[in-house]
Amino acid sequence: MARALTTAEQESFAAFYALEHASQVRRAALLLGSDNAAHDVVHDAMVEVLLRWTTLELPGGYLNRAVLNGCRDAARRLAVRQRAPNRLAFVGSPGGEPEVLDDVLAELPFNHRAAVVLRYFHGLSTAEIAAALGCAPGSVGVWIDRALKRMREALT
Amino acid sequence: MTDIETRLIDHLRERASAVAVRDGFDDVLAGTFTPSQRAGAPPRRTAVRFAAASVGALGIGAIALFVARDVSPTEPIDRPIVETAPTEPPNAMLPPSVTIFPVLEGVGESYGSYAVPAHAPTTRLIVGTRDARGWRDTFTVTALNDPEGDAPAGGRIIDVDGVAVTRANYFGSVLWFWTVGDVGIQVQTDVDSDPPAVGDILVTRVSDTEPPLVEVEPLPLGHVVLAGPTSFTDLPFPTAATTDGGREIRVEVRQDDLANSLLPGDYDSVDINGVEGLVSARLAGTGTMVAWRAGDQTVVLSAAASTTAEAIEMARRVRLVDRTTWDAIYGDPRLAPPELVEPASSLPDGTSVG
Repeated sequence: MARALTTAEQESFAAFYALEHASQVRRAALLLGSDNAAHDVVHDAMVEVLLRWTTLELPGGYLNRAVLNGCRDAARRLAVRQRAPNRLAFVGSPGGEPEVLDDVLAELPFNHRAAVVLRYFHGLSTAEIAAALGCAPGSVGVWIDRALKRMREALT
Repeated sequence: MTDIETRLIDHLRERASAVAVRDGFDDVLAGTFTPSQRAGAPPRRTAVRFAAASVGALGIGAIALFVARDVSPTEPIDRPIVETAPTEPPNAMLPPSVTIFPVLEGVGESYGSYAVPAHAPTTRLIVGTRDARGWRDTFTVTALNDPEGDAPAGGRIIDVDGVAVTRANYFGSVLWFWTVGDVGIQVQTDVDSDPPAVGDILVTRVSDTEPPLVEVEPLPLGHVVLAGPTSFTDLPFPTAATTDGGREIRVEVRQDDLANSLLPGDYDSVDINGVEGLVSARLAGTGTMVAWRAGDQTVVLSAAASTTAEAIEMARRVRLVDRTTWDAIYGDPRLAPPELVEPASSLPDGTSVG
């Protein structure tokens, strides 16, 4: 059961929030194609972190997993709701190549999409991506290669 | 760095920079609404959980949590981050010969996932969910590894809890979705998994507020092998008969190659003791199951057949499943068949049965 945070604990959490929030929202937005959904996922994850703030040894790692899992759940809900593969519908998308890349990303299985974002947006290593996604390192390279191949095909 | 990688990096950075990050620290600290809910959407259970926890910090949290659970009895109280140490639920549903795979945990709409080994012709999984109150909602999912099938990666779900899956929807290139009753099965095909897999199985329960993706008549069936004398005829249609507790069961199978089914080898109607079958049967090839329901009776042929003769041979496994039997075997009243009544005392041609 959570207890009320002390002032010092609140301040440390505020610093953590300021450090992590924006990048987590951007990552979630890339995974979900929706700013609002991204904010919701990160909000939920931050609340979970806050509830465990006094007991978490690695709040950053916990937050990463919570956001990824939240995105995974949100993507499934969107897929079920829309009855079709998600399209990363960025408002104001001008069309052309960016939209093609959005479509390819949206068609990828979640783990593939997450691997691409973690590699090319966050610059994580294969081992770090595997740890974040809870998969074998051998899967990461295959997923990324497959995604790049799909993008090449889509752009040619 | 290849050209496509460079373009992808630029693309992701551009998209990320366009995201308008809104500070929600006060809301997080207060544990109230998510950003999108400020517009008027009702608070989600995050807020309820946080409120319960906060009240608990004041000394009466246990009561608040109890109330919160009662408010939404089907919702898990605490959403776990995916745990990496799967455990097995107590489960008496399966015969001893069936391999029980680790149960993957999940909550909410997603109940876990498991990769089906490509080397196994069929794989049976137990997929379940668990919350603070223990195990709930476990499903037995049988997947058929069918490399020649029309699924993108050759994987098919063929039954859920012993219930034959009768229809499927196809989503894009990555997702298959089936529903049986109110249990939905997603197969996210993933040929690139390591080790190779025919699919990542995701089990979901279709919520009350969200209609099933496809309308599927539930077939609450068992598949208990029945010992007893069995006889067969082939005219005009294959007919099987066996005895269940002194009650003779005659099953007439009509093959219908023209049936509109996603599965090969359809057998589309059946008579049970002269009662016309109401629910069509599906034979999904080797290693699968045929199930019928005729009138108020339920019959299943646990089939490993690709021809009519083989299917009829499998009729040795015919039995009626009534509610008592179902409960004893499966213990799941949601899928229980209707109360069994006495079968017809004679066939249409006057032959006495039973």
